[in-house]
Amino acid sequence: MPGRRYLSIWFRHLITDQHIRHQPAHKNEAFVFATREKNLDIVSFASPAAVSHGIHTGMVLSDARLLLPDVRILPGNPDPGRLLRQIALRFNRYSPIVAVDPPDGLLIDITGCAHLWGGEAAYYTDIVTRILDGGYDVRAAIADTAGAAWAFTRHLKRPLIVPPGEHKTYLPTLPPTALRLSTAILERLRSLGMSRIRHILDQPRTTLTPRFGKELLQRLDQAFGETEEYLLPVVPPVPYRERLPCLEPVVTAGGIEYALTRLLEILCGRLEQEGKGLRTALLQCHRVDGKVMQLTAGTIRATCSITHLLKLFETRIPTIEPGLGIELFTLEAPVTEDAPPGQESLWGGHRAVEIAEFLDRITAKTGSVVFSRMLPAQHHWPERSFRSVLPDQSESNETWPADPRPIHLFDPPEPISVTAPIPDYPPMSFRYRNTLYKVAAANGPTRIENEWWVDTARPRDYYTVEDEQGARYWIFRSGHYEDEQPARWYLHGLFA
Amino acid sequence: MSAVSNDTIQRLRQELLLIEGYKAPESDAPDIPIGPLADAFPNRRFPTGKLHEFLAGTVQQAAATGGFISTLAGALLGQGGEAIWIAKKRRVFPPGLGAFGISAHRIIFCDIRNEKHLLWVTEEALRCTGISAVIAETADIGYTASLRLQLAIDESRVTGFLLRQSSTQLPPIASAARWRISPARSRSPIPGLIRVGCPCWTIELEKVRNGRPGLWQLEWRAGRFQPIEPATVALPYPERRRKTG
Repeated sequence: MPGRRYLSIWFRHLITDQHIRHQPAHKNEAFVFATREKNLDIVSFASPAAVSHGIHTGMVLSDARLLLPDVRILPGNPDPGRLLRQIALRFNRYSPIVAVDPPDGLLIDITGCAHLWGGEAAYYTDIVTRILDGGYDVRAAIADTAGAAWAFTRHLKRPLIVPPGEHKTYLPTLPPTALRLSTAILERLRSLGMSRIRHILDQPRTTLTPRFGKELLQRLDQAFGETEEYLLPVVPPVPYRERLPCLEPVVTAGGIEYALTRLLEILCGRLEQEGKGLRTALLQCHRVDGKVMQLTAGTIRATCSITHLLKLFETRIPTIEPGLGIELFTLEAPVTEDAPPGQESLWGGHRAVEIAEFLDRITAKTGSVVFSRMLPAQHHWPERSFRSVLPDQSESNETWPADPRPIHLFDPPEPISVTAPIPDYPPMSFRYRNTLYKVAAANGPTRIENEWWVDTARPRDYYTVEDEQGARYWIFRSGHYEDEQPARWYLHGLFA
Repeated sequence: MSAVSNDTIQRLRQELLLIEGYKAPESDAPDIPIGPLADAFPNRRFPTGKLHEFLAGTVQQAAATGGFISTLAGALLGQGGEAIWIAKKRRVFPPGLGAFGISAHRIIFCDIRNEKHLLWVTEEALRCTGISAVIAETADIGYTASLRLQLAIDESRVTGFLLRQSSTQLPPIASAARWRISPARSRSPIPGLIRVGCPCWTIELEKVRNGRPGLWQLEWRAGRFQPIEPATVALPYPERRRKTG
């Protein structure tokens, strides 16, 4: 991971600091938050003044009272996670990737951000001053990996901005608690006398996992930068979003179209440069009166063709009510996919692109996906013998069964009444919708059993019959004659 | 008479076609094997890149027409590309298409409830040169709408098939050919037994531009059109059944 930089922030008294922000009178007072666990009142958070008297988190409340009889006890169970999230959202101005690091910290990927403030020192000072001004006691450190930054924040006096590559010289001197390990592992390390990280490094790597589990090596590698650590940003990045503010509010369809074209030009240019294509586009029109009108367009394959996307929006532009005028347009591509330029020729070239664009236009016009491609399904029961898929997956190695099947299928089958000699002769005539058809020729029967693991309909005996005019029908008898229920006849399809 | 050679007649026919304003299909257009039907068409070639209209009065005729169109679309797809089947309510049973030389996964099915949207989609599909064949099931189409479809085809050279099923008389539309396909009695594959054989159709070409209308009785056997051979005469089915039991 060359070149990456991370900032770790540690709020030393997060909850109590927040309480003091709301109740400045409690500033130098010793107070604790208490929660009830298993019939015991436990200190969940203690203020700095209380800590100086020896009260700490996890202590039984009555013990705390012994140490400091007039300690103020506050009810409630503040949620540090929620508070951290709120703070993290405010830090999005420093970097797009801000992650919450429970219970009391933030991790920020500051790669490529610090130079905007004129270097890491200025960046660091700006952030720390801002937090201190907000009334929070804080420690922060910058290093090459998130793990190292976390360790330095909590265990290194100075320097707090560790230059690139130097985290490897500082880390071994720190205790194992700097590695974000679970208590069980820390306890075992302590009992083995490994009080510094360098003691762990002295051990052969292969023995570590059997003795301590995977976690130790993972944390060690993350701290030293041997494996990647992914941060989960509080605000998922929306990388493809363009804004177009208007000097004068736009009220005409022509104006909206012009704005859309401009936005598409910028967005598609960017997508093309990065080898991507969009699958969904979202146009938002912010009106003067605060209302937001929006249009979406979806495509079945990644595209960055301006003319095509414009066509998808074009038909629906008149549905936007401009009201008193639109002052801001934003165009966003929430769903994008990699679309290397060579892909079109691989995928069947110009024709496939044209068809995909045609299908997108249908979806835009009718407002729903109305098309499908049929593939064979592994079922004998006729209604289940095919499945529909989206047209983008065209090639299939599956083959259709060669049994004669009708070209039209009635779903559900249409009931008919027949005259048929028993036990299994084809009918002599049948009546369908008040018309009598005389059977002139017949093939069958072919039995199709139901799949008992799907449902329990009765087996069907199918006959292909031809009437005197030559029309060919697919009819079946549901069930056996011996059953308690009488057998029923149905017309299921028409042959060509 | 015999002095006038066949070549001369051919040449004169070509000239006549040019005078009549016939636009031949492009030389790279697929040659559809249509067997005896070829006699009806100019240059004995099935007119691709045109609008074909199919009339069906009953559901049975509609099914027969579906089969007939599938054979044509299957041959068109042999050259690559895609087919689009547009309908209000899909009745086509995909496993049944294989018998007509077309695999169902080469077709994109569009189910469109709204009649106006259906015509719009059909027109858009006909404009799209990546598509080889457009099959649209709609009875409700006026003369003006058909002209629009015709114009779209003139640019793209896509072949369009309009299946119009209605029990009542339908208004005429602009099309290169008007067909009426009805099912016909099939020939039993096993002599002496009364069985249902290969699909047989009575094909009526009511109107064709620059060609000669006609009536055929053909059988779709082994992947091509063949004249129905005289059926082996057998007793009508019910009598025979009564006799045996």
